[in-house]
Amino acid sequence: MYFFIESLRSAINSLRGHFLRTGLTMLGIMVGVTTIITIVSIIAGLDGMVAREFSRMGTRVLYVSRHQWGENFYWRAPRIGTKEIEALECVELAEYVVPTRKRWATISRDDIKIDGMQVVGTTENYHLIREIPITMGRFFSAFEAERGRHICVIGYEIYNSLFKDGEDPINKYIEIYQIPFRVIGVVEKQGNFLTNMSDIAADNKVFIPLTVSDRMFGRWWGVEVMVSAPSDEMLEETEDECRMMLRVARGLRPGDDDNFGINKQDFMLNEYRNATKVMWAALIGIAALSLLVGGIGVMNIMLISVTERTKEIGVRKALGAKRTHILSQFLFEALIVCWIGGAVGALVGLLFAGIVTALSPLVFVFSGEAIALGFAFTSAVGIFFGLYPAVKAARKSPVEALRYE
Amino acid sequence: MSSLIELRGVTKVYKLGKTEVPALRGVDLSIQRSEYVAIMGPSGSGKSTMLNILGMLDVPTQGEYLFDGEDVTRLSDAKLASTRNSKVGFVFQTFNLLPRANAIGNVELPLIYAGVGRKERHRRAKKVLEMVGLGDRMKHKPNELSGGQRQRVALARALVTEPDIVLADEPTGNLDSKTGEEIMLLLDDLSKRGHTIILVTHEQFIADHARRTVHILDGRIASDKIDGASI
Repeated sequence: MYFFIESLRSAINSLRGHFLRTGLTMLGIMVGVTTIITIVSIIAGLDGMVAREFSRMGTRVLYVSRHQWGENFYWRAPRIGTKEIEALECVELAEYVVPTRKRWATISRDDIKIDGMQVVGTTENYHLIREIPITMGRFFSAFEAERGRHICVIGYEIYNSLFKDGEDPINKYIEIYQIPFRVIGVVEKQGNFLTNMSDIAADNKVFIPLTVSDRMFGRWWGVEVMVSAPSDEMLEETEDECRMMLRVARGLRPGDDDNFGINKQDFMLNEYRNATKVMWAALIGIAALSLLVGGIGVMNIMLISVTERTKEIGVRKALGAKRTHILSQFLFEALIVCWIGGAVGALVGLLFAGIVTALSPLVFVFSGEAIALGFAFTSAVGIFFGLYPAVKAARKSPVEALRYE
Repeated sequence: MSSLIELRGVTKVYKLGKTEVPALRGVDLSIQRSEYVAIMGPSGSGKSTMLNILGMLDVPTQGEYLFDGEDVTRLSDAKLASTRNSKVGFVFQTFNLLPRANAIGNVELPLIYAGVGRKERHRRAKKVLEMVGLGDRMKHKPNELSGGQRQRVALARALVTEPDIVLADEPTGNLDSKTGEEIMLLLDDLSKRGHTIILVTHEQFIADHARRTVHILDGRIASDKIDGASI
C-alpha cells in the first residue's frame, strides 16, 4: 500500500521541519529507553553472574543432607553418617560420592592468624566432583584420606594470607586449632564477590581428610554427601536412585516421609530469583516511569503539532484525505519519534551496560528478546501517546480546519 | 440529460452555542457538465457555505445534493473523502500549499490519497505542471515561488486527479490584478476545454469571466443569469 510509505515519508518530512523540538522529544524517549535497557542489562548481568556462581556447586551434583534446604531444620532427622555414605556408594548411577563436614576454624602459621575460615573434611574426590583445579601440588589421595594423615589443601585466599611474596607453600606447615597440617596443594583462585559470603567458592577453605576432621571435631553433626550424576540429564534418575538407597538403608516403609534431604544447586538460584524478583520488578517499574515522562513529551508535542497544522489537515482533507490517512500520518510521526529515540536509547543503554559489566564481575548479557521487547514497548508508548492527538487531528471538520488561521 | 450538480431545497444551519444560525435557507440549483459558473454575494450571504457543500466538505442540514445522480448527503465520511478526491478540485484564495513540499510534491498529494503509484503520480503531476506553465519550477518550494506561481501550482493540484468540477474560492483574492488576470485566463482556458468550473467571488470583473452568474443573498439565490439573461 502506497499510503503507508507516504505516511512515513510525510511524517519524516514534517519532523525534519522541526528539528530542535523533534530532537528534544526524542531525547525524552531516549533517556527513558536508556534507563530501562541499562537497568535490565545490569539485572540480567547480575543474575547471570549469580547463576554462574551457583553453577559452581555443580549442575549435576546432588547434596544429600539431613534436611531439605529452605525447610525448617528437622532436628529429629537422623544425621547422615557412615551407613548413609555406604548406601550412597552403592548408587549405580553415581559418578562420585563425596562426604563433607564443614567447621569454622582459626588457621595460623607462625604469627599470622586468620579467623572464620572453613575447614572441610572430605575425601579424595572433592576436587573432581566440584571441578576445582589445583594450581600447586595436588589433592590428597584415597590412601592418605583413609590413613588420616595431617595434610591439607588450601584455598587461594588462605595461601595468599599465610604465604607472603610467592613463597612455595608445598610441604610447609600451617596450624588448624594449633594442630599442624602439612600443605600439599593450593586450589586455583575462584575469586568473586560471593567468595566470602557463601559456601560456594573454595578460596577461603582448607580441605583435610574426613577421618582427621572426625577425630578433631567429632561425628555428632554428621556429614553432607555430594553425589554426582553422569550428566545433567541423568540428575533426576540419580536422585531417585539415591532416595531409594537411603530409604532402604534407613528402613523406611512406603508412605513414610523421607527423613533426609536431597538438594540441588538450582534451589539456591531459585531462592535468589524469588528473593530478588520483586525488587527487580520495582526497579524496572521505576525506570519505566522515565519512559512514561518521555511519552508525555511526545503527546505534548503532537498536540501542539496538530493544532499548528490545523490548516494543513483541512487542506489534506479537502484534497481527499480520509480520517485514516490523517490518523496514520500523525501516528507515524509519534512512532518515528519513539522509534528513533528508542533505537538511540537502546544503543546508549547497551553501551552503559557494557561499561558497567566491563568494570565489574557482572556478566554482559545481550538479549535480542530485550531489544524486541524494547521495540514493542516504545511502539506501545508511541501509539498510546500518539493516538489521542492523531484522533484529534483526524476528527477535525474540514470546513473548520480550512478556516483556521 | 441529468445535471452534474443538483441541489434541491438545501438548507444549512450552524449551531453557535444554543442559537441556530441559518446559512442557507432552501437553495435549488442545478449545474450542467462543462458550465462555467460564478457564485457571487456579499460576505455572510452564505456563498462560502454553498461552496463547502458543493465541494462536499460539509453536508446540508436538509435537502438533497445529487452529484452525477448520486445523493452525497447519504455518503459516509470516508466515501465523501474519496469522492472529493476523485471528483472535486479545490483552488483556494490563500493557495493552501504545503510549505515543506515542493511544487511537484504538492501536486502529487491528491494522487497519494487516490492510491496512485509513485511513478504514475510523478508523470501526471509533471504533465499538469507543464500545462499551467511551471515545467521549470517543479522542484521549487512554495516560498520560492511568486503568488501567481503558487496559485498555478494550486490549480495544477486541483486538476491532477482530472476532477468533474473545479471549485475556485476567490482564486485571485491574494494576487495583484495582473497575475490575477493570468490565473483567470487559465481558468477560462480550462473552461474552453470542457472543464466544469465553479467560481466564488465578490468581484464583478472576475465573475464576468463566467457565462453564468448566481447571486446569493441571505442564504437564498437572489438571481441566476446566463450571459446576462435570467433563467
